[in-house]
Amino acid sequence: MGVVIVSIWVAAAGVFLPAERPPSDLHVVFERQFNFLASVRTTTTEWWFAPAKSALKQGDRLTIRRDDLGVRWRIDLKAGTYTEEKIAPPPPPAPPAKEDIHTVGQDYYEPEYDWSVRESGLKTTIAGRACRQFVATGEADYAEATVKFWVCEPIGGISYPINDGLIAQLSSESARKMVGETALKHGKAWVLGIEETQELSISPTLTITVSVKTLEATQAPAGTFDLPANVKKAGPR
Amino acid sequence: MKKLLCVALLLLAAPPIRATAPPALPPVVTNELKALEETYALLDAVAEKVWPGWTGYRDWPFLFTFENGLRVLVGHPNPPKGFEVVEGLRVGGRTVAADRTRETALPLKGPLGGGGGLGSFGMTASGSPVEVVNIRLRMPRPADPEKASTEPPTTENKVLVYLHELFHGFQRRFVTARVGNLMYNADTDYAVWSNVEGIALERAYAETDPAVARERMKDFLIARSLKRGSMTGQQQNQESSDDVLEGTANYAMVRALEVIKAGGFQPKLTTTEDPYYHGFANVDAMIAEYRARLKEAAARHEYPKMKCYDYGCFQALMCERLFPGWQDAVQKGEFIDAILAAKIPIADDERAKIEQRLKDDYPYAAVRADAAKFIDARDAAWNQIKTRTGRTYIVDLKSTGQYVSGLGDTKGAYRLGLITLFPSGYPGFKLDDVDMSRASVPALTDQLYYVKIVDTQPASRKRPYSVTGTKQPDGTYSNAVVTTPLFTLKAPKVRIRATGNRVKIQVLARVGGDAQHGNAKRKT
Repeated sequence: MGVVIVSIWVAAAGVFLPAERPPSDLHVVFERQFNFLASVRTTTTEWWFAPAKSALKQGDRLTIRRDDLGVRWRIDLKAGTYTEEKIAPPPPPAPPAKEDIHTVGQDYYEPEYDWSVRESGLKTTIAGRACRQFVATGEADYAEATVKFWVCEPIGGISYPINDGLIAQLSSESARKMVGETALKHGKAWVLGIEETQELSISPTLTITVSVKTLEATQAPAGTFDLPANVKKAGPR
Repeated sequence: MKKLLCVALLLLAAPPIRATAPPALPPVVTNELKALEETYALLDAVAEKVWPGWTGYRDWPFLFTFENGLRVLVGHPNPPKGFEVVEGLRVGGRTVAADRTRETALPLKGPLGGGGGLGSFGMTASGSPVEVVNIRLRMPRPADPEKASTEPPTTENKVLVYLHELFHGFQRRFVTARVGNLMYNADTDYAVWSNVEGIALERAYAETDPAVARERMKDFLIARSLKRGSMTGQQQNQESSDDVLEGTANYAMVRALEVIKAGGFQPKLTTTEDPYYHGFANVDAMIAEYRARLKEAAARHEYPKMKCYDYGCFQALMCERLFPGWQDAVQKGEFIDAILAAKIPIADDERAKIEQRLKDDYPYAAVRADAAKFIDARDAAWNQIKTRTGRTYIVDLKSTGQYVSGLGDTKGAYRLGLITLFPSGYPGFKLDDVDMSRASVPALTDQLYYVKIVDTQPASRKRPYSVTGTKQPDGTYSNAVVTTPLFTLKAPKVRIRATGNRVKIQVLARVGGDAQHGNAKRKT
């Protein structure tokens, strides 16, 4: 009788316990379209995360960040070369610059938008994650912007900073800040799709779309976070 | 038999008959294209004498944008959506395509003036960006700051503008390191020495004795070094780089005129075909005009960046006269002022003497008094305007493509970069069917298309604005009159974006009539 009970317990454990630990790595592929002056430039970025490591590949350029080693490698796959730099702590925010009459009115106009953000009611699924759409309109003295973005449910237990990389694809610093803050307000949600349209002060309409194509929690292939064997050091940066 | 042959030849020469008529371009537009054809003829004759190795000028596509929104492409390998090839019309042996989708009802009246630059427009069939010469053609306006005379634009000047832009295309072969444009407002010392260096340059060009001309170039070099006391190294490099980029392109224009003067060009276009063209018959006067422009530029304190056209041009002309073959050094990345400094060395003891003669032999005291008065007044205007707070009104002309700088009277105004300050109030303007009244409070224009006026007493106003006109389903107003406490704006079509303490009035059309033709599209 005792043997039977033990056998049932073991069988149940086989059903309900996972066969192996869930993978802690994350794989993200996203596409950026830059639409300006009647031409569209499309770039695809592949991004891997593991604890204290990340690898970002765009065309022939690969950047591997190793927080565990305190270094970042920038690799030119076409040239077969790389540079290494130490990861420095982020510098403290610079104090506001004192006005210099020599440069007043000379800087490129960077609009600081007043944003009006609302949830549109639209819902969708991006790379398997449930998402809600937000629409923001921005007004500045000499520019206007509209940003439509999808705020999505993160994968439980994974906290890699994927928003930082996706939001960084936008052109407007003010839009990047607004989207990041909105995501933070909604439970540190992930932003998996963005369309930014700006009517800039001087130049024609600029549209940037960022869309996540792949999002999967899976083990990174061996060597993903290591320097490729065939690259040579190009020199310090 | 002869008759039959003639008919056959005529049939061969005629464009193929189409089921629907090809989109013919109006004469005012096709006339403009003749100026480009003549530019190629001129370049065939002078390019090698202007700059050894200057070829490939026919390879650059041109994009012409007319004030009514019509866009015409010449020689584009893959015209973007909206463009249709104009059958039977070729310029420089290349196809012409037109885009009428943005065309408004604004009537075009020649002769038109032109300006532009290089830029990317459209893509090749394989997906690479296409670099084009981008030209905007406008009907001249009396208040255009760059157009002091009331003479209509001549085709000769337009040919030289196209030559200038094509030289920028040629520069792409050797100007690889860009340090950016000069972004610098003058202080008093800069304004003084900048004026003196311009006078020295003009005196050097006027001097027929090469030894004396070299002395004047020493004056130029010392004045330049004194001028740069408050500039960063980067700003100095930007200034020298601008001298190369714009100065050599202007040099190409003047050098072409010198070659024409020496009998090196037979015009192809006739005055019968283009009444505004006389085959460079007045070449001496044209060369003299560039020299006059140098003197005017020297005396202008407000916008240092613009001096590069004249200063760079005359440095290059002096190099051509004193140091033939100087172009090699430029192609290797040298700045023109560095070439001059290397060719005309100045010893330390000589430097002090030159500094003294800049004060004795040049109108130094008068220049300093004038510059100080200007800079002090400009800075006072900026301090006054930037501290105004309250409700902001923006009049936005971007959809019309019209720069505000050419509209209002700039007497008593001051410039800081892209900003023009109007400390005594904004004078208003009239542009076709758009009419903006004077605003009697300090104001500014910025970013080419915008007027900004701040009402410092918004709480005392009953309402920020009122508008009459016909409200359209898209929220715009046609035949609108917008009344604010500070000014009134009448326009055929406007959109008002009022948020927080900002009222933005976007002018969407400058002529009335058919809404389909008079309205510009704006995406956001």
